[in-house]
Amino acid sequence: MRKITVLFIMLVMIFSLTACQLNQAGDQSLTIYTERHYDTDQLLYDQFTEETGIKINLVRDDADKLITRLENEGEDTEADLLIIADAGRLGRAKDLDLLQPVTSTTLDENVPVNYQDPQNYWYALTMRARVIVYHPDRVSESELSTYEDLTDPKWEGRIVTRSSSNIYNQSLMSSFIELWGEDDALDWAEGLVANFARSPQGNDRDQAKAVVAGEADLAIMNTYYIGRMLYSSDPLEVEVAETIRVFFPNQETTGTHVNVSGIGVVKHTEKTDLATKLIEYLTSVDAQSSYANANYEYPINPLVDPHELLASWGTFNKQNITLDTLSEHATLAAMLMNQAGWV
Amino acid sequence: MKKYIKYKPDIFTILSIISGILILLPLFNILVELFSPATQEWMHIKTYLLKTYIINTILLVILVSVIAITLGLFSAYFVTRFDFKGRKLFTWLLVLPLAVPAYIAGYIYQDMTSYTGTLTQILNFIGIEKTFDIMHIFGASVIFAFTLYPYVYLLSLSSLSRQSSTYTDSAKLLGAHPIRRFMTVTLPLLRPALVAGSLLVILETLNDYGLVHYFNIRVFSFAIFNAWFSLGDVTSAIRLSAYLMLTVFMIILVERALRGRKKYHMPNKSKLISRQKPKPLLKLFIYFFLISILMIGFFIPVTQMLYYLYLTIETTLTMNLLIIALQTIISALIATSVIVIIAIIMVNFNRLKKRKPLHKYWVKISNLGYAIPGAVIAVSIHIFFVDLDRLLSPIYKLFNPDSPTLLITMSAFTLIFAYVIRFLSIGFNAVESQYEKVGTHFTESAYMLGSSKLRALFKVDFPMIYPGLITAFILVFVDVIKELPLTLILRPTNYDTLATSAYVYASNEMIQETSMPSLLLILIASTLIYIITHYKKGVFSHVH
Amino acid sequence: MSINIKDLHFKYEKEHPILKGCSLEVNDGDIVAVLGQSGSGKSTLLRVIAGLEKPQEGIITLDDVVLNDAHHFVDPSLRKIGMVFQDYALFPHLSIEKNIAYSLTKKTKLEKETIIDDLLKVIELSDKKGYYPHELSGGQQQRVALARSLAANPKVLLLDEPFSNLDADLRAQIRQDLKRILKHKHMTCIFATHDLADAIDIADHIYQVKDGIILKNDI
Repeated sequence: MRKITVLFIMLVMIFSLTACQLNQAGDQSLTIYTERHYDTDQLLYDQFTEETGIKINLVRDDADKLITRLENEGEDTEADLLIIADAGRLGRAKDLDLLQPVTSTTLDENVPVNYQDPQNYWYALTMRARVIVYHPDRVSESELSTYEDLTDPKWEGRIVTRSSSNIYNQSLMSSFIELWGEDDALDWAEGLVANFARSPQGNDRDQAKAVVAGEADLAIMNTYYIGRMLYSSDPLEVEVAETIRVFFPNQETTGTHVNVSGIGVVKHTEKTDLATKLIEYLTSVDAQSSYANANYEYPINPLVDPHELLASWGTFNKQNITLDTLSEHATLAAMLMNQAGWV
Repeated sequence: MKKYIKYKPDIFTILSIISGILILLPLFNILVELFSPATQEWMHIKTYLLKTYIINTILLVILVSVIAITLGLFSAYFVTRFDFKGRKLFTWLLVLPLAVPAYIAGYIYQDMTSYTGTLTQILNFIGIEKTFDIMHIFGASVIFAFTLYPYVYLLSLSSLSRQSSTYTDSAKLLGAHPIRRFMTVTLPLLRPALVAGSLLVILETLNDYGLVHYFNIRVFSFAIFNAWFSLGDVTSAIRLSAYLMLTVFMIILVERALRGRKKYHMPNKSKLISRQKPKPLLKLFIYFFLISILMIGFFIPVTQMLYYLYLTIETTLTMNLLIIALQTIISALIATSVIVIIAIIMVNFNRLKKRKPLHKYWVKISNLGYAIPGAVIAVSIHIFFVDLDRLLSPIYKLFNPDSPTLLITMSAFTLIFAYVIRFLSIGFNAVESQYEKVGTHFTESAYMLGSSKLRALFKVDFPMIYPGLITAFILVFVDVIKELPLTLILRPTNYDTLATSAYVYASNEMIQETSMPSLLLILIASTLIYIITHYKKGVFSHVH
Repeated sequence: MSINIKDLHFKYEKEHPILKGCSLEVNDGDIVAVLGQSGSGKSTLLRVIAGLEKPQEGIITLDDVVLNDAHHFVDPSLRKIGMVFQDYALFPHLSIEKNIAYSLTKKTKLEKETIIDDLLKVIELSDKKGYYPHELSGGQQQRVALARSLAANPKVLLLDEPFSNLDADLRAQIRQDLKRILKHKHMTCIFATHDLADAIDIADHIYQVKDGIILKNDI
């Protein structure tokens, strides 16, 4: 029996050691559950720490997993902030009662009203558009007009895009449900699928490569990937990016679909003030340029100029919907895409 | 008056029962969820998606098995039955692809065959303008097969090395020519090895999330993640997991039934088969075959990554990376140690009382973890520990009023716990097979001489079984550092492993940057593989 | 079927010579015992005769057909020599019926059945036709191994230590059974053993193997 007691004590010791050792949440720190993390982000966080003395702890994962985790942890969560690269998922976090509203004059100055959640539950950090890229040798700009036009039989076998399981396509679909209603959105998806050059595979960049390789003539992808390819260390990717052209659809009608990366304060945090401070920092003129440029996205702060590549594309009309509708229709969007056979 | 000696349950029994319960508890969640009513999302899945998932999964499993068995079987056969220059080198090199996780091979090969990839460039150079598209079931199955065949290879190698020559000699004398001998004697005798090996391959394939997600292949693990996170429906996800586990058990049962009363091994101590020198044409084919396997399974992806490393090392070789590497190693060390200890306890629980079926089934249950997808284990454990933390939080507050409620949940403890559940069976099997070689008599003698269980374990068992322990340790360690889905879900704050680091880079479409953590991981795993295949007293000792 | 062995020399690569000039002559229908200690080379002798090893020197003739000399070597599957190993080597995944049938690929179904049933009767295991080797006792396994070799209708049968794995009290019975079966089939047989009693009990002639040479020790 004595030996068993010894073993038991050892186990308890190991247990408490591993449990405590990694518990770093102190008073002067913030824990962020974030989907996005580039190396340059770390520099920004370090700068924040230097200026304020507040340490930043990160948990990185996909949006869906972070949300589920927050759900399970409930009021005992250690998270203070949530950063997600999709308005749809941000809205979902809000609907699941995981966030709390915060306001400040600084935030209102930094973030235009249509890039905030109407009830102040989250604030956008960067913006990107989901556009059409095409090969200039095979498609002329005059042939392109709207997303709806992509279902026209003339595009049969000429379009590629990534899987429907991807958040960005889901939000795109959600926006269409909001604009046109469920039935028309489904028709659109079915029409698009009929024009696929191949079954969806790969990421956004692969779609661009497929267009240049001649597998397709059009691709639907996010603007920032074009920037990534253009400035890639791989000369071939640069070549691809230089070959394709960008088209912002629906300029005459409902506008191009845009999405945002955003940040919200977790409901059950006790550090609301500190958290708000971080959001103010990330949306400030000091941080925005670096934060947005890290991923070739459009900055949110109206006082900050976008990267020269984005500036070269000029301004464009955006969809006139509130971004929280993207979360409203997210699940339906996923189901409709499944129904349409969009793999 | 009769006197009775008080029955004291021995330490192995106690600890086995405790371990078993601890392992089963989180899995209980899965069972509970199974009885919840079907949700709307489930109906959606059932109507539109389930059939596709089933067909794709079965197809993937069949393809991977067939290719992996072909690769593993023939490479083991060539290396044991023939004598040629470099044979010994090949013997252990053929295990190396195990150091390359399937998802990493997937990223690299997809990159190499993409429009801007190396392979396409080479083909363009010689005038072929085609790009190869590998992101479908066939491409994925090839990648799985080439990184997992070593399981089949190792088990076949072991079996073939021990096979007595008298079987094939008898067949020879009874007039059978070489091909008939192979088909009717050698191959059937290999059946247990092939079955066990391909089962491991299949389980690893079914568990993978990284590769199927990247290639967009609609199989069950994909479905589980999707239902869970995209559709937000835990119940459906768990139902799908249950389907998956059921399929696995069906496969196992069917194989058992097909085997019937046949046996594939009869113990004997006869002469082992001597190697022959192959004819020139066959020799050429052997070299071609073995070198191709190694190239595809190991050297091509590694070389490509070395090039990318050269391109990106300035940005990726950071202090952070070294911390990640250290974290990977430490957590693997802790998890592996725990696993080996529990494995020893459970093996001892079972082996000395072989007659009791209860013991046998108890330890079998504890090996369940391997068949369950890592993601399922992860969330199950997360929920479990959240509940536990809430239960125990008054005690925490007693010691430290500022203590957070979710003490355990936010620590590395849950991760390690999950690793234990998932990989216990590997450790168990390695320890068990070593014990079987040694037999029970030595330990029993020790008990008869009055030794306590623990003393016998340390003084008598250990000196004899430590090769098996080392084998178990290395096998589990390699598996832990390669692990992805479970780690992604359960890791605590500021915590990454080399595997998750590679995954994050890849999901951000920074394939070139994946080279740094990937190569580090492969380096560690390869070193361990080298050690275990050259270890004089390990599984490889009888092969050389 | 008489077999003639002249001056066999054999060693494994890079090892000491095992057979250093063995000569032996066996007449049709005889049962011959090759007696020797372990390591004397008796098992190796059988393997060389069977063609499982190639001798460095020596001539083996079976009924005036040269199986082995300086210029010729006949493959073991073509020699029409049968061998029962010490461990019997019954294929564990085949029933005893299928084991016995293994060499009968060129026969018709009817012929196969006849031969098998006939042999099962001779070895007295007709009722265990569908059994698997691990379900039989050692002595039964040995008889099946014998039947399997006999089914191939060999000209000579070699037995390596046929009795060493058997229980002592059954040995006498089994020895007589073996002799009965062999004589019934008029089978020329060479068997290797270290046990003099085995040799005396059933052999027509006994030879001793010592240091790689056969000593004429006729009885």
